Amino acid sequence: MDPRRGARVVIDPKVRQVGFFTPGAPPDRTQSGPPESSSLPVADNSPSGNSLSPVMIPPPRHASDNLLSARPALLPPLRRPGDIIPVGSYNPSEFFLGTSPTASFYGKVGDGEFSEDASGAGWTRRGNSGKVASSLPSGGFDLTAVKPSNLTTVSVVNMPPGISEKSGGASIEVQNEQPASTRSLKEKTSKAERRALQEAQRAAKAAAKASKAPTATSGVATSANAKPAKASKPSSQKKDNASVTATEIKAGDRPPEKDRKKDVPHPRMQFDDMSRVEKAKRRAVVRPIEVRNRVELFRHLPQYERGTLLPDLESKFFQLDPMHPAVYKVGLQYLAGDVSGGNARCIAMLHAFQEAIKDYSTPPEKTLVRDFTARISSFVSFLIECRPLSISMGNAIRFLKSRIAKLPLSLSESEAKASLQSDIDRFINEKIVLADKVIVRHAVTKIRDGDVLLTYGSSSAVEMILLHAHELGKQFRVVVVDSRPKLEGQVLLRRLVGKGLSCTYTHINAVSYIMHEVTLVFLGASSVLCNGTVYSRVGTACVSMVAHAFRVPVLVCCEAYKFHERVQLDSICSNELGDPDAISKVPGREEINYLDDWAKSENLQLLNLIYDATPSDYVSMIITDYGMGWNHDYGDTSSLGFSCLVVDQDDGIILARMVCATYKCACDSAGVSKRALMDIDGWVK
Amino acid sequence: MIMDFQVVVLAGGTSKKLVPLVSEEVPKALLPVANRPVLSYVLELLERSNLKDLIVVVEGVGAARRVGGWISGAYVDRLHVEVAAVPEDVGTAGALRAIAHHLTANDILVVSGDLVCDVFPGAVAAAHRRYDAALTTMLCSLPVSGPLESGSSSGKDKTKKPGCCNIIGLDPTKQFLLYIATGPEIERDIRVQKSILRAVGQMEIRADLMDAHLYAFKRAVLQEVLERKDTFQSLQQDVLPYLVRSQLRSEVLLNGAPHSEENSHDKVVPRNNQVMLSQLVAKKTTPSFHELHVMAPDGSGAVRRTHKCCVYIASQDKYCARLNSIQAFSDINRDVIGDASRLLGYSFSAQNNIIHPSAKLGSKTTVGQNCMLGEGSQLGDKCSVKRSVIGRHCRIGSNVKVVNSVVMNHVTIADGCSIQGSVICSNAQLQERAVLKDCQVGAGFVVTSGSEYKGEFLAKKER
Repeated sequence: MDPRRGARVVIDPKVRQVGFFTPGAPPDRTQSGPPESSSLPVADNSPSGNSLSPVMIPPPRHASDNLLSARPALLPPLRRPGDIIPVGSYNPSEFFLGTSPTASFYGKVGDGEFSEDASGAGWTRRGNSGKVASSLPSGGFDLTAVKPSNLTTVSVVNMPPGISEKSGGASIEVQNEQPASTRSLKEKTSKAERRALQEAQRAAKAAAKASKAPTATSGVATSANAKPAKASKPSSQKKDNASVTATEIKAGDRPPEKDRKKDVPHPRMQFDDMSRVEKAKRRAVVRPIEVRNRVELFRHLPQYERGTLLPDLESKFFQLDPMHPAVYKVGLQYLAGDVSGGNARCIAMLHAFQEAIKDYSTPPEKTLVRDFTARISSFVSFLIECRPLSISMGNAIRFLKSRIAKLPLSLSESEAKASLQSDIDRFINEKIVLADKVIVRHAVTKIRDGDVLLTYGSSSAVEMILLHAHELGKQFRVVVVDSRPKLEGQVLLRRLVGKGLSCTYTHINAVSYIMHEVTLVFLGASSVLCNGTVYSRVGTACVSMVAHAFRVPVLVCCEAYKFHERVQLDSICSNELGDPDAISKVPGREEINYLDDWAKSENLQLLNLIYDATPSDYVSMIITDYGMGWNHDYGDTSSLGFSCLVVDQDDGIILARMVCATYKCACDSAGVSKRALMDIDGWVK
Repeated sequence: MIMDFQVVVLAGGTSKKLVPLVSEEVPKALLPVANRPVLSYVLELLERSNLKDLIVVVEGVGAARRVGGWISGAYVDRLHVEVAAVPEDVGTAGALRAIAHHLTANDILVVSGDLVCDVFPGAVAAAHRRYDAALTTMLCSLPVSGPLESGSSSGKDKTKKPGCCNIIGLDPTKQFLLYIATGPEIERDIRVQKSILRAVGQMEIRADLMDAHLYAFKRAVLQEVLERKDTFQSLQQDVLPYLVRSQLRSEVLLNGAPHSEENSHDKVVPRNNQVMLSQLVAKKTTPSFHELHVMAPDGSGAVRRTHKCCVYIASQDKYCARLNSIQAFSDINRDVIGDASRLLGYSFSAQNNIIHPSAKLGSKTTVGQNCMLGEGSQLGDKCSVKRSVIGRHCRIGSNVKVVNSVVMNHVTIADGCSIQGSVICSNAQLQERAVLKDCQVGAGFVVTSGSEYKGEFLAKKER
């Protein structure tokens, strides 16, 4: 990959008119007037030119695009008035394009270098799509080649360390063998047979133990092996993102045990499914006590008594044998809420993994690739127990696992460890640190003197943007909107004010008042989903909707490694529940703790949601490290997610799977974003 | 070294505070609590926490030999224990200094050998790790002192203040230690650093908490402090207050290695990225007042160094006490067979007492609840035992009353004695009709017949 990159011409990253540059968007639809909104003529033809790029548009759409592109030429005079009076017409579609300077800027640059782009992209794309086609199966192969190890490995890891290490003794070997044989027997028997066996065993058990019987039969007989097998499952199933692919692959490489596939639970645990919850509990490290009063609509999400979780985990500090101290520490910090935010959590986790890699040595008679994958899985399931993974973390884990799987067998242990460590470093560096830098660079161009920028909560990317713009000497004001219970905005505010920015602080209840004076909204995101939905801290949707109503452009900053293939239409089916006490109690103000003894009441259910989903309609622009894209309609955002995907596949990250309808479009834009990546590289060097 | 922790048990030597009870033969660590050496409670607590590599530090060579002998007998195949002998009267800090070069793990857990508690040390270690603290200490509520229901002596006990009282300052979240006064410091004025107060804003001063002598230290910090402050004798009175005092202008770690995790990536990641990265993480972690203090807008670019002193406050329902006085000795004995019987791990009989099957009871002898009768002990007729511990192979005559007392092993008590609130050490002999109340009888002492003592130390003269 690298040599190819080197050969490329380095182009300014701003050029990337990735597939999401909307063809039909009349360029003149500008709103919310920074005074210099008049570079329309240039903007006029450029987007259409862009979108017409033969590279990007599939044939059937071409005609319609042409039509559309014709429209802007007609429309400008009509639209003009709306342009000048910022709060004029209320056509929501108009609003999307945000500030005109951007649009015009975009257009100009795009225009200038478009031809180059097209010619360059021509073969890139072809090469790339070819690559996609070829790399997919091969990737699948790799994984299948590795996965069988997963089975055996796992059983090894969870074996008591004494046995695996001191397995010289004959008696131990015998012990070892027995479960193995029982298991193989178990595998060969059909499901019905096993069931019969189980029934028989159950009957044999005393009636008193009736409830424990199923566990006992499977658990006791094959204790050493059954457990690890179980343990391997949650890691793949519970982690939100990897789940789909992981389970698929897993199922694929284990044809003999087909019914096992059925055993695989739903990708995401549904916590209102009692039997599954029971199963998950059995293998959990932390013994959570579930909150009794849960809001009906959110029963499927896990909610535990926070108070009991932390002491429980703490007291087990020394009992978690296979856990690496660094991983444990990170888990503890997640649980206690000391570390929050997608980037910080991801970095903390990766650093912990690095420590674990450093201290890792392959046990005898195992291979690093197999054993360490299992090890990572156990770490991950531990972390999930502490707090559900963020999407960024899921992607990072997937990356790491694929790196492990792709380690050449010829490498010595120390080499392999060094390579993994540097892989992680590279991931952090490229996907987070550099990505943020690029985002900052893009976003700063959107800030002009006299702007009033609004941000919600505390996003690391937004903070960097604001600080950088300030360093550049731009004159602007910041409105920090905050919300209970975390009040993250205060921390951000403290740092911004410390750096000499002029700030206004308000709570989200006042957002509609403050929005009058705002010219631009910057938001962070936990993830951007395939359909353009922005998954972010709860309250983001509210802020962006208000901004939308006031025709203030909403710019979402999100590193591309946080993109996810999932499509989510609401914030109900997948979300996270926080500590309900956090909203019922006001720290430091005992006199207004009216709900103190009510929390246990049957009639009261407290809901502390962590995330919400902002429909793409309310987002004007997404700024990622691969560039920024005006959000026009559904399809385009998904192709944005998509373009990132194809590029990333080289690094082993699959951000989004193929969506058939946009397949071609995606491949087309892949060529472009591939170049964008190179541009970033070139820029950094 | 599980989780990169190393455990040091400070078992002490022959403490002066416990003089009639301890002796050359019975160092403090081997004092029986419910017929088990007190050290066993700590060791078993650690064993249950899966901490099996221990260093036990004992003052005095003789004591070390005895403790070592006992451990190797009782914990063979269960624990991996190294016993280190240090000279007497070096203090807890001195003892650690003596073995400092054996410490290699990242963090050190220091446990006092006289601790009887059921708080898992893992909790302390976890709190320590979570905040990346230089020091974490466990605090527990003050144990109830004095006999429970003996009206006459309770008034007297109130005047006898428990010696383990600490004055402790906490931050509003009750996670950081801002002030600690122990020992003689308590009598003096409380002096609090202005800078700390300014940084925290609010400080809670508590006198109802006790430092349980269970610490987690960062090894580098501990070693450096011990090395540089060679006058420090006691962990609790010197090292702890020093670290707490200097937490916002940390002098430790200055020449030590900075955070190892940051160091390890230097080669790969360019410098400025590294800075950005650490900022990225730091910004999103909930800042304690230490971090806020560091980034306080005071203009000076100098980086202020801080370290954190955390506390872990054991919940009320946990038992935690230290055997550091005679009063504590009888209290702990009472509690362990009474309220805190879960520590013992034995199953109680229907009468809520423990009588070894080989013990023999005479006719009309009653053993009340919360009592313990050791192996091979014999009681004559018409005896009455209440809330007491009687050791192994004691011979007790008829008509003997034992209430609220501890009787160690091989004690002979003749007919008609009455013992209340007392401690009788091994091999002591009580002749007929002796009456003891709130007395401590040293090992091998003979109480003459018919004598009556109240609140006295009875020990052989040569000691």
